[in-house]
Amino acid sequence: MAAADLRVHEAHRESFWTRYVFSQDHKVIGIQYLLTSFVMLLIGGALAMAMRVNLAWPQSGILQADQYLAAVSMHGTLMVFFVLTPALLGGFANFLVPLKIGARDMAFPFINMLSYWVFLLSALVLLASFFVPGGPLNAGWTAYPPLSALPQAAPGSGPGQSVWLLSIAIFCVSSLLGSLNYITTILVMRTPGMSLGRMPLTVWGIFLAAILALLTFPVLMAAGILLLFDRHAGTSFFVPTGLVVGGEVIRHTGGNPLLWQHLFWFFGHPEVYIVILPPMGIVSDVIANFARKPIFGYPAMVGSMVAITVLSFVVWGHHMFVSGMHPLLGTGFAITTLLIGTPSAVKTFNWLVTLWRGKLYFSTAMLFALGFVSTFVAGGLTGIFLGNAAVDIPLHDTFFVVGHFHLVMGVAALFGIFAGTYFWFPKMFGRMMDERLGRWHFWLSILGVYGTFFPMYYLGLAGMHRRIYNYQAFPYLAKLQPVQVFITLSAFLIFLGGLVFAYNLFTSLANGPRADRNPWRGTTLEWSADSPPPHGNWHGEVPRVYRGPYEYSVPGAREDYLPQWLSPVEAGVEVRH
Amino acid sequence: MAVTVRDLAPPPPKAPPPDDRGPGGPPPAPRVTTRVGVWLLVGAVSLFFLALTSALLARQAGLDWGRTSLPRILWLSTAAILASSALLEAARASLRRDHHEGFRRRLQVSALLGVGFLAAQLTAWRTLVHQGVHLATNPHTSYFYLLTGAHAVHLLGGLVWFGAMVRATRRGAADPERIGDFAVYWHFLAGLWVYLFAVLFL
Repeated sequence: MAAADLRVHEAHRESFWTRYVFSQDHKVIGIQYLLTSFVMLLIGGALAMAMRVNLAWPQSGILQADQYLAAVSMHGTLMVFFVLTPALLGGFANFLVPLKIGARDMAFPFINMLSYWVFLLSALVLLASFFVPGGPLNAGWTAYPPLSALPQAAPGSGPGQSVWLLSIAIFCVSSLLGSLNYITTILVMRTPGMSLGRMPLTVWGIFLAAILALLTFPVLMAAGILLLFDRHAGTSFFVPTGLVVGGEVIRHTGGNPLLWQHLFWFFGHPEVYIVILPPMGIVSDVIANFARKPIFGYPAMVGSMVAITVLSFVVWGHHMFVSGMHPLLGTGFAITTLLIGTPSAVKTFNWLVTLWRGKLYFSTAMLFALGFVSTFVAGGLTGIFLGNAAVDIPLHDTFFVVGHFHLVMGVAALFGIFAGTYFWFPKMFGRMMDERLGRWHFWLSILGVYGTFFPMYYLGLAGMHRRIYNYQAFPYLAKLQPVQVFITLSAFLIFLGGLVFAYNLFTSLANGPRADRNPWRGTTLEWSADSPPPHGNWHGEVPRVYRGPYEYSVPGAREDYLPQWLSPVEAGVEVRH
Repeated sequence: MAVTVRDLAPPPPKAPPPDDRGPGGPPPAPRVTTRVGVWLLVGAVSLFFLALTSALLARQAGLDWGRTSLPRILWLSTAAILASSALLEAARASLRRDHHEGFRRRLQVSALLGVGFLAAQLTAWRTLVHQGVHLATNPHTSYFYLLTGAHAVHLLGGLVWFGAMVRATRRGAADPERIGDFAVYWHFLAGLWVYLFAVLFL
């Protein structure tokens, strides 16, 4: 052991640059991804605050109309592409996959490093659009043509839209490099004994999300290229005949804006599962740990994630019920959409049953995991309403949908990220986060998100449009201003919670109490490595695996849990037939 | 102390792969790693082209579709890329029989045919431009330039890889596994071209 330690230090005297900046170590790359995502979260959150001030007090004039549209569009883009996706399929995927499956690194460490730097480039390109003439895009994160296809259509449809497309194209490349790595690593680099049926659910979630990303980001790339051609090369893929913008007839002919919607949502709907499958795994790991119980129905958990993955390819049309489609097609999409609720319900049931009669310990990670389950249900149930075309049509362009997807996808995924951060922070940095500040973060967040997004259901049913700069132009909407004020005050609570989190993150990095290898008495392989693990993850041999990932409260075990790496002899459990 | 049956579940079947590079060293990646990665790449690129061609098929029904006559030279490029693929297989067969000289020669000719394919595509574009057929002339030409261009970009990447391989074999290093990894991608590009050719002109 001592000799092995010595070799680590001898072989790896690296410079600061190769160790922390241009590192090929999956753990460093994971932390780079995660911290970049948190910076983007701050920007995306600040934009949300500006929008909320504008909605609560439209007369304040804090944002001009085009600035408001730019804020909406950039908020969505930042949160989906530059916070949720890279924090999960970037941050946690990189940090956790090799550690949890017993590999020393990713399958392609160089490509892995490249994927982070390409991602950072795409983020910088996107942020640059704040500084181009006309400002960032106005067309929303979904960038529907013709608004996004005609530079003269809105201030943000000029250079800002082109920069956005460029940034997303670069992001697609980065995503490909990343997901190639996660899938290959999980397929070929598992330690002996780590069968697929013994993989922690976090790894399953990342694996399936990476497959979705691998197969759907290329479609977004294709759509983006078509749109760039329409904007700059005079083609008419998306622009229909006879449009008049600013009194001038557009020369494009015969394109179909619905084509963009089909291509975009073929990517866009799997994308929401890309950001929800990894948190589903993280939450399963955290809940099993802090309930000290095996996850209930492991095969059903895996099966339902696989079912969600497959079904997510055939539900995209439910984003387009209001765009007009053949009724038969609409019915088909409604059926697949309702079907995908079934595996989601299986998962929720299993989380609740895992909690049932467990020895619950409410750490911050556990609180956020429970928060995930809560908002996933509160947002998911309205998804059943919206999955019906007949109900969706009156509600689609209202705040009802804003409340729905923020709770079920945005907040739930973010809570999964927070749960994972509090849970694995000791492994990442060798220090514990402050639990008291963590509780402040959680309670501010949970009160804030329910105060923000629950009233949106009411607003939506009352007819509040979701893409409107000044709703006070309509008397029946102007009366709803007090609700908007309440929502904005609640949103401030979320942001305040985020600042507490940022403070906690930095002070814990500097002064948090030292963490030992396994502070949460976890069962999976990452807890057998040092905190933080060395380059190569384990001194000496890579651990092998002897059992499933959730052996908590094992009768007859010396402690109440049996880690995956403990050999039967070391475990020394009595035979009981 | 006794041991449970359940705990014994995975009797460690065989010794772990020798890991003499020690901790902290590069990870011992199994030999199939690159092959899996190449197949995943092929999957991702397929979805990219499926998205574009399904857009084409939807648009084809439109009244304004237009139709550009097929530049003759595209038959030549089709022949070149298919021959290149076949020769690559012939080269791999030579390598399996330890016939190194034949292997190197066939590999080089296969690579040259790849370059020839690209040259033929360039000629096709030039011919069309001379005839006044441009990107925005009609939907058919838009898709033609877009699809052939995107395919050429992927092929250019393949040629860089091919060049690296030819260089490596000149130094005498011919790893059948590495050639096999590349062959997956190269055959895919040939198949993809036949598919695009059919979608565009048949």
